Amino acid sequence: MMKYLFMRQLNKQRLCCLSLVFLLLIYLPFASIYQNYTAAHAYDLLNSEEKFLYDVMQTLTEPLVNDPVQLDALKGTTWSARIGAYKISDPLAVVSQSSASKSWDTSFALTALVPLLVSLLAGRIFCGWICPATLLYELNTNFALFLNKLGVPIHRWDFDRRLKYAVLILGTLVTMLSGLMILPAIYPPAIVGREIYYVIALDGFSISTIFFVLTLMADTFVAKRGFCRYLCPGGALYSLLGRYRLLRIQRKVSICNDCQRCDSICEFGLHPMSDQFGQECNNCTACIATCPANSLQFHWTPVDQPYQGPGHQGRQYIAANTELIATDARRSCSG
Amino acid sequence: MLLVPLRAAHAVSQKITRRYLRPPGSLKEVDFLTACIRCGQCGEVCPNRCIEYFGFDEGVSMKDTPYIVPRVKACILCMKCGDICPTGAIQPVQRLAEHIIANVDMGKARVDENLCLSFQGKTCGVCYRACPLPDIAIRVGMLEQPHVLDQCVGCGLCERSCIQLPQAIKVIPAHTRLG
Amino acid sequence: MKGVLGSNTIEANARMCMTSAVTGYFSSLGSDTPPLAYEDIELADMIMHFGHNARESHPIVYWRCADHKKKNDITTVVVDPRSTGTTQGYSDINADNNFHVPTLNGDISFLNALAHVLLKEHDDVVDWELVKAHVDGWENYVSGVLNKYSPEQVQDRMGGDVPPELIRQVASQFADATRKRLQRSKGSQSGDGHGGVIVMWGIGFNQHLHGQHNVISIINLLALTGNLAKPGCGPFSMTGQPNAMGERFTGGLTGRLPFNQPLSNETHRAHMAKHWRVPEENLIKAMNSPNPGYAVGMHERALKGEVKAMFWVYATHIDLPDQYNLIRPALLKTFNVVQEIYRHAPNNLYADVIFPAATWGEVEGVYISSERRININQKAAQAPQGCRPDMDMVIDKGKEIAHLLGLDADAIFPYQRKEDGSYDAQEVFRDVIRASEGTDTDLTGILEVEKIDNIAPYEQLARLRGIQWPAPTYGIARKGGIKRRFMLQEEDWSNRPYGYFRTQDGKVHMNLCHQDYSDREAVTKKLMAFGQEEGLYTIDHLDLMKEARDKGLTPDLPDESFRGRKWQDVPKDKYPYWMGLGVVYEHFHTAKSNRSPTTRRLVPEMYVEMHEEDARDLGIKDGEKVRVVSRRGSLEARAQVGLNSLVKPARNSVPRGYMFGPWNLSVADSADPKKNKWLANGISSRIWDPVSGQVDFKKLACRIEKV
Repeated sequence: MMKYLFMRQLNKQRLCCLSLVFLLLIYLPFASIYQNYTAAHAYDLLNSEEKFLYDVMQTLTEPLVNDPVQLDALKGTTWSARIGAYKISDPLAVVSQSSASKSWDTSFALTALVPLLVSLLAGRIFCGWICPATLLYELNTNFALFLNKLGVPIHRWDFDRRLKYAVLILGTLVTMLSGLMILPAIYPPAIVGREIYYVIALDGFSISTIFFVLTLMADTFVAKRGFCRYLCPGGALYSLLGRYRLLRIQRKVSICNDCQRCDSICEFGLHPMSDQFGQECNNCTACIATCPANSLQFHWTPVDQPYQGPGHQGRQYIAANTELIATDARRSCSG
Repeated sequence: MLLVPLRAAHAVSQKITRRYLRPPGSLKEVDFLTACIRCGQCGEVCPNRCIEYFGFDEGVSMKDTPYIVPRVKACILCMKCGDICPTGAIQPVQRLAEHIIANVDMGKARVDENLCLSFQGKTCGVCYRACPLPDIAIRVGMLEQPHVLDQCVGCGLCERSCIQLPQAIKVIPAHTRLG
Repeated sequence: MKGVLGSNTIEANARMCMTSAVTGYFSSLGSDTPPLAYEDIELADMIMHFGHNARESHPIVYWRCADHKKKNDITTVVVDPRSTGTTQGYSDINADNNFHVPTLNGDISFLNALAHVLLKEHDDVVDWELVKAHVDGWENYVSGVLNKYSPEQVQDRMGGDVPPELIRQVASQFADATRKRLQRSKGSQSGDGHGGVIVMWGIGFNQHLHGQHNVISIINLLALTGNLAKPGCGPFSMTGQPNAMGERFTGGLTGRLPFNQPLSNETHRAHMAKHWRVPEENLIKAMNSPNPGYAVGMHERALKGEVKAMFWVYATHIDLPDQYNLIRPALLKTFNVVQEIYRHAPNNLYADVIFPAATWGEVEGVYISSERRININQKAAQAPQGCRPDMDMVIDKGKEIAHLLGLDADAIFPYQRKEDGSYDAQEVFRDVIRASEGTDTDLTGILEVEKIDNIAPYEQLARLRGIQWPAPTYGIARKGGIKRRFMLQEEDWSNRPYGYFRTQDGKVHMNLCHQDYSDREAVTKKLMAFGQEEGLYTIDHLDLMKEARDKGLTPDLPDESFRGRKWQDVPKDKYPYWMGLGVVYEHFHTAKSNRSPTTRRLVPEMYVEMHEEDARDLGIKDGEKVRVVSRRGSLEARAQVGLNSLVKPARNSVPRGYMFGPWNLSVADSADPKKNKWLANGISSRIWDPVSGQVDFKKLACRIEKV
């Protein structure tokens, strides 16, 4: 029972994780500005807004570090970051950079090792737990539902999931041939990370923000999580890496009651009811949280189960197997 | 067929006319553009906040790459950007004079003697005083006239401090050098 | 002040800057007249700089000298305890004929020793003809230097590494340079030879309690060798602020009248009373009101209650010494009327009435440069609303006061306002010119040119790029004034009021100046009490001032035995190191310029130059914040250790035991006196030269503490 409770809380924890990442993306540019002010040793020359920023940041960071220089310990975005002495990068960055330069930089590739291993292990978990765009896209989905209640028609279309793999392959090819780094320009987490920095620490957002807003609007009106499902090259890469992931959600058919809530809640349009999680599941645990029977759980296994049939607590199964159930019941009562 | 417009876009972007410097320790321009992953960490770690990022005006190839405009804010050669760059587009360089002189080539300063006050019979020497490598990168002669030496690394502190309008000393970026 | 109020208590910036030169000239040559022109630089064979960091304080003159050195390989000598950019720049051009003499307070002895060596070993360059015919007191001088000032005898007074060989070397160069001049004039000392030795000196030389004697010693040496008032040689005092000479010229000092005459000169007094249109009784009253101690004395009298009100125009009080014990307490007692140009000026803190003034560039007027050139300063911008030119406000005040005293204000100040409401500075200038008639600064030629050629005086100044005073005739004014003074170089000035020199007897007055350290500790101990004891005023101890001056002493004496210790181990009542104040190239005098981003970036904060070994002894590292404490006050600064210091500007090196910091960042810290830590004159001593009134800002005893 405790395990079930824990599993159901995972979605909330995931949202906390996503929020934490997002908050860090906002905090870091402010820290950068604060560090600039402290390095300049010119508190008296700041105007009142700058002083306010300084004072707030000082209050926040003083308990943690002795010297603002130590704030260098955490820098970057989800595209590439440095934590202490360790650099960590998005595997798509490695793909992009090695294609553009047509050379292989081992030390840079190693910075993507941890994300690579985690993705091999847990699949598209970056998309579910870390990607800053995910937070915005999920909020956007809720907003779309709200609009829908007001009568605005929302995402009614579906497309082929394999489109994003084409985007990934095509993007890589174009990068290789032209040497242009187009992938970071269309990859939402890289965009969100950069644009937040631009808005806070430089003079404002760039055209990439407009691009991202367009994807949000497309998500609302065209297809639910359209970009993530059909276009995101990073999502494609993570999905490929997670094809044989060891940690995956599976349905315990014996307690499943066929309510279909998991199918309807899945943001990525996957089918837990058909035991089809596939390589694109981002471990968002929304299905686990919503299942009234606690029949969905994480398991350590490299492949999805083949279709187990309707849930044994569901009407369809019970109707088809009434005799069997009655016999079992009699046996257990008498024994 | 697909490549023609892409190559054209690339070519247009190369026609950027704004004078800019790359961060200190950067690879030469053509390698830089395919090494930089546009992560934005160099600007974030820069304690002087002199690193800015290109927008879309300069084209797809330049977008989100870091640059410095010395007249706005010059580089103080703290070399933190090289430490943080994950791909080595900006090479890490030890923060010691010999290493910086040997490995940093942002450009080379050039004095416009028609503008420089010291060449007009006044005495100035502000650029010399602003230089972090005085007598190595720049020296002064009569009337504090500046003479840029070969070892100038192009940080731009001289250009930033020049009291003439427009500035009489400018850094000519490494990537616009012929040959 | 003098004509209307009959007051003698008027002082100007020159008092802290170069009245030593003024009184030195008066004593030796009879008139406050630097005899040379800038052209003489290119004619010289040797240039000496005494107490003059020319590269930072007079860069244009410096580079002219350096250019001349480059082209003609002349000898240069820089006499300064610090090894500054001045001497380094000369060494860069040719280190073989550049000499750095790092004497600390030993200038009088050094100059006398040079004379000794010249008399003994280079007798051919002594101008016996000039000396015997036109010099008064030379016998005393010659016997004095020969007996008491050999290079070996003066070693105890050098204060730095100035061995006898160096003195002899410099003397030998001096002699060679003089010989070059003699060659050009075919062996004769007068005649058409040019060249020889120019001795320049700056404020570091004037700011001693024996400053006048310093200057007299220079003129003695030059007169001895005939290097006086000919093309290419002579004493060349460098004017500190551009208009110090303007102040001297117009008599803005205690006991002076305009045109280089004292209040005590009866005929001149009558002359001025006539031209000022004031009753002569007022001037006699002024003469009879003593102002002992000059600028320092004024403030001591204020503390005593004698001076009740002060009027501050175009001058800041922070350039005066002993701020915490003398100046600021005095200002708190007096009623202060201030004319100032910016809101956070320190004068405003103590002002009871503030008149906002227009500043440089917003007013038209004239100023005078080192070579006696009167230059026009044209108006380039409009002053903000409500700010008026200083001159206008002074005239209005004068009129009002004259009126209240029952004098005929309109006769005394007959100036008319122009259309824009301001007074016409040119009209006042004409008035000044008319008054200068018959004096040795006669400018009436300018009015002649105006009358005959119909060119206004300011226009003449603009066309000729300044006119050197005097310009007594039409012809001379048309040519731009008299280039060189004395020794009959004044060409067609027929009714010149003097002969060879401006003294009473027409001769140079040589006065042997002494320096004697035998009694040093005892006398200096008495000097160090001022500023520490309440009610102890220098104006009540004139004899002590004179004694200290006659022995060529310093206002402070450091406790040298306490050197070599860590800063924590130096007792709080001991002051082991010398501390000097001066200027830094990047900032103007009182750091108004510190608000500018460029200068702020170049020299952002107060610093103190320290020798590496001293810093090591003290346990202070480069860049650390230290406090410099003297008996009278303290300041905070960043320690700049050695030439590779990270604290800008690291380009001068100090000798062991000596520290140096700029005074011109004083107001850059904070306008609030409670918060300001850079007020450099908080640590200086008020001991003044009895004749020139100058104060020694360069030899204070201090202790270093880490902050």
